[in-house]
Parts: sequence; structure tokens; C-alpha cells
Amino acid sequence: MFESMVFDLRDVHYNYRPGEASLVNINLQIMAGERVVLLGPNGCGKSTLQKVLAGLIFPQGEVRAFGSAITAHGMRDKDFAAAFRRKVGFVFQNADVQIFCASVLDEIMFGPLSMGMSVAEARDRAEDLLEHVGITALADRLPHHLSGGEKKKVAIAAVLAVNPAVLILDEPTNGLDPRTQRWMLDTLAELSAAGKTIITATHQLDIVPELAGKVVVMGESHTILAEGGPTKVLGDRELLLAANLIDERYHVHIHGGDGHVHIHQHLSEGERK
Amino acid sequence: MNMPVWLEKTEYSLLPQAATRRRRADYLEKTLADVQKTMAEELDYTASAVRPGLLQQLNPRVKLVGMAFVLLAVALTGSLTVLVIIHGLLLLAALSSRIGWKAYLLRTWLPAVLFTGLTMLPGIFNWFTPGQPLVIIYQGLNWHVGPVTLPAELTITMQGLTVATLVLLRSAASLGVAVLLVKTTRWPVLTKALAGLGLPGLFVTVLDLTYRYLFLFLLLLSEYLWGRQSRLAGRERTGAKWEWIGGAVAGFLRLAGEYSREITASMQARGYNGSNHQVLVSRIGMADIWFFALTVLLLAATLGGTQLVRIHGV
Repeated sequence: MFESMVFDLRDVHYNYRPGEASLVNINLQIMAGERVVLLGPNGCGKSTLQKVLAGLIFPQGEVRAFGSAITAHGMRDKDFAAAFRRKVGFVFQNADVQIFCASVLDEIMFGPLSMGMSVAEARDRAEDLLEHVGITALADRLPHHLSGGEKKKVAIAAVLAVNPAVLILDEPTNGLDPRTQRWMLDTLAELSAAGKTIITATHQLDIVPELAGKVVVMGESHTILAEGGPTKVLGDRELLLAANLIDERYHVHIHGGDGHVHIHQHLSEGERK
Repeated sequence: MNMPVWLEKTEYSLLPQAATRRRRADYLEKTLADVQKTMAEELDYTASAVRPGLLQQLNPRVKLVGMAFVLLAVALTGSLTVLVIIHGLLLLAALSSRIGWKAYLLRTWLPAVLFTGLTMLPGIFNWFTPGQPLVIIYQGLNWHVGPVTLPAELTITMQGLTVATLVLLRSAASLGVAVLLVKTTRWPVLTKALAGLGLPGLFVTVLDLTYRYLFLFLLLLSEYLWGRQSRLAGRERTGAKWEWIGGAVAGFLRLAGEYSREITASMQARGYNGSNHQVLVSRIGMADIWFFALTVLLLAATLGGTQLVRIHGV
């Protein structure tokens, strides 16, 4: 039953080919307004799980979103799929794959126009976002002429244009310079404060405390190894080692009562010289 | 800059009821499904190539030469019996290499019938291949289609049917050899074996890169299609799909250009000069000797048989 539960996954399994599991026995509930970080090493199934949540691939088991079963058959109903897409936005790791319009402005107007907004309304919305994201000067540029960070901003603005309640982001800070990375983290915090559900996949431990209210750790076995608050999960050295998220040299420090966490590497004597 | 007021509002509500009536997938959805299937098949080919089996254990160079002999035998023989025997042997080899008979027959006979079979179909009739009538479709009629008068009879001829069957069997057998080769040899091993047999390094590099980047582009195409799907927040207007396809094709060409420039630069940075220095470590064992001997025997028997037919007109 849907009250504040946005996603409910039960006994989910997914194979790209027989005998090669990408997701194994996934049981996961995500509540409205939660900030969830899917944490795991490369190839553990984080992106696959996000695609399941975004209604792009359809696994074995039960996937429910906003009270309805999400199935391949159901998503072929254009109206149902459109209603789902208005609620769930997905920002791909590679911004190039989701940018397909002739200009940045067209790109951001695409969602509102396909929702049935008038051109004037869609343009207002796009201009709001261009300004908010800080890319007004890029409005008429060709998307493929932009830098990696700019493309990421365009991709996020394009997804936000339909004002989804859930935002799924695959490795959002990957390949970004420190300033754009900071912008990304601040934007996600702002969106979370506005009540959006944010589901982020990453293997970067240092951004987890800022991004997560709940951390879901996935292992190389393609299963969920643990779930919990960032302080608890990041403080569990054995778990992080088992999930191949840290090596022997990494240390996690939890400071004071505020649960502030930081992670860093200790160098050996030889490396310091 | 403050967040736009409309973005500050977040609405959580139930989804509408999905229609129960089944709708067929559109061509972009079908393309996505096909891309996924192709990638799964490619993974399946790799898995099949490392499975323990008769052909998998062979030295790739010996296997390549042996299969070339089989191909030669298929091309040279004019005997339906020999071709049927070769088909039997190929099927046996597939089963011994743990390739399911269904998968093997589907990959060989389906394209053979669809392409060669359909092309050869007119040739079985007396209009194209005169000869001894086998089945009479009509006879003694005086039909006109507009100004054209059709021949007085339409029959399936023995000569036409024989030639069509021969070509169909040859085509299926050639496909069978190709299927066995790629399903029991990993692509990089196959190209190394080709290099070992004297194929110029440049061709081998191109073959390797093509294979590698085809897979990469298929992956990228899936992401493109998912990227579009994830943003369809309403009914698409007419022509939107075509606009997207145009944009995607342009995007792909641009990316392919960027990739090729970067790949060339990285290869040059590592001293690439057109030669291929990959080393294939493999030994020749008893199984290789047996396989080679059998394929030589098959080729010799076929050549001998063909000569006998020529001399004695059997």
C-alpha cells in the first residue's frame, strides 16, 4: 500500500544473460523524501538497480512504485509510463546519452513540452532552471559543444524541468571538477530539502555523509550486504572491506556527537619521504 | 540563485491504473530489446567458447585451417550425398562441443533458408531451369498477363531442384562452419590465429577494434535509448521519434569520430606502426592431429569423388 513508501522491491533478481546475475535477491523499500545512497564497487549492480527503479529494465520479482506494480507490460501503456516518468527522473552517468536536442534551451523544454505545457510556460520553466543552475549563457549552445561539467548541469536541468518527486542519479560527481562537484552536492541538498527523494549511486565514500540519510551497501555478490545510516555503515570497517569499498590503508573517522565522518588514506613511512 | 517556486513543490500521489490491453512495442522499444538480445548473445558466444568441448580444446590455428578445408570440400563437391554427410559431421561436432542442436540448426538453417532458399526458389521451375518435370503445376494453358503470354506449362524440374538443393546445402554448411568457429573460439584468439597464419597486422588490428567497439557502441546505443525513454513525460508529438533518431545518428557519428581520433592517438603514443605483435600461446596435441587428419581426409575424399564423377560421369 502506498502512503509514504515510494519504492517497494521484493525478491528482485536480474540477469543480463542466463547464469550471469546482476541483481540477486534484492529487497528494498524507499520512503518519500529519503536520501538514499547505493554504495558498492564497480560492477556490483548499482546502475542496474537504478534502471530497475527508473522503470527501464524489468526484473524477476516484484517492483512497486507509488502503489503500482512496474512491469514491462504496464509501461507499454503510454499514459501510465508518462505519469511514472513525471514522478521519477533519471540522470545517467554519461550525460551525452540523455542530451539529444539541438540546443540547451530545447533540451530543457523537451520534458515540459511533452507533458503538454504551452511553449510559453515551458520556456519560463526552462529559463528558471537555466538561471538556477547557472547556465543561462549556454541557452543557445549546441549541447555537444559543452564541457563535461556543463553537460551534467544541462542533463540535471532537463530532468528537473518536469519537477519529478524522485531523482535517481548514477555516479553524479564522476569526472567533475571540485567546483562543479560542490555545486552538485549543494543542489542535491537543496532538492532534498524541497522534499524530493534522492537516490544516488556512487563508490566515492567521501561524498556519502553529505548525500545520504540511508546507505545501501551492495557487494560483488550482487546482493545488498547492509542498510543503515551513514555513520553506522561508514564506521563498519569490516563491511567496507568485504564490499571492496576500501583497502587496508583507508581509515574512517567519526567525530563528536554530530556523527561527522571523514575518510582518508594513511601513507606508509616510505611513501611520506 | 534561489530555487524556482515550482521546483520547491513536491507531489507524491498514486500512479494511475495501467491499461490491461496489450500494446505492441514500437520500433525504438524493439530496437532496444534487439540490442539487449545481441549483447546477451555475444556474452553467450564467449561463454560457449570457453566451455570444455571437442572444438574448444583444439589449437585455434589447426581449427582454422581444418575448417578452411571443410569449406573447400563444401565448395568443391557436386554431390548431394557428400554434402549431407558433411552436414551430419558438422552437427556431430556441434553436439560434441556442447552447442545445443537447436541453437546450431537455428543459426545455420534459418538464414540459409531465408536468404539462399528464397533466392534459389525461382530456379526450381522450368521457366528458369528447363529439364525433366518432377511436379507439374499447370500444363497446356494459354494464359496472358496483359500483353505478356505466359509459357504453356509450369513445372518443377529435377535439374532445377537439384541445383537449388545443392546451393542451399552448400550455403547452410558454410554457415555451419562459421557458427562452429565463432562459437568455439573467442574472437581475440581467432584474430590472433589469423595473424599467425599470415593475415597482415593491420587487418587483424582493424578486426579486433571493430569487434571491441561494436560492443561498446551497442552499449552506448542502449543507454541512448534508455536516456530517451526515461524522459518521455507525456505523449510524443508526431515526428518526435524521427527527430530523435536523426539526433542520435548525428551524436553517434560525432562520438565515433571522437573515439577513433583518441584511439589512434593512444595507439601512436604506444608506438603502433601497423604491425600486430599479439602472441598466441597454444600447443598442438593429439586431438589437433586427429582433427587435421580427418579434415584432410574429408577434403581428399571429396576431391577424389568429384574427379571420379568427372571421369566416369557417375
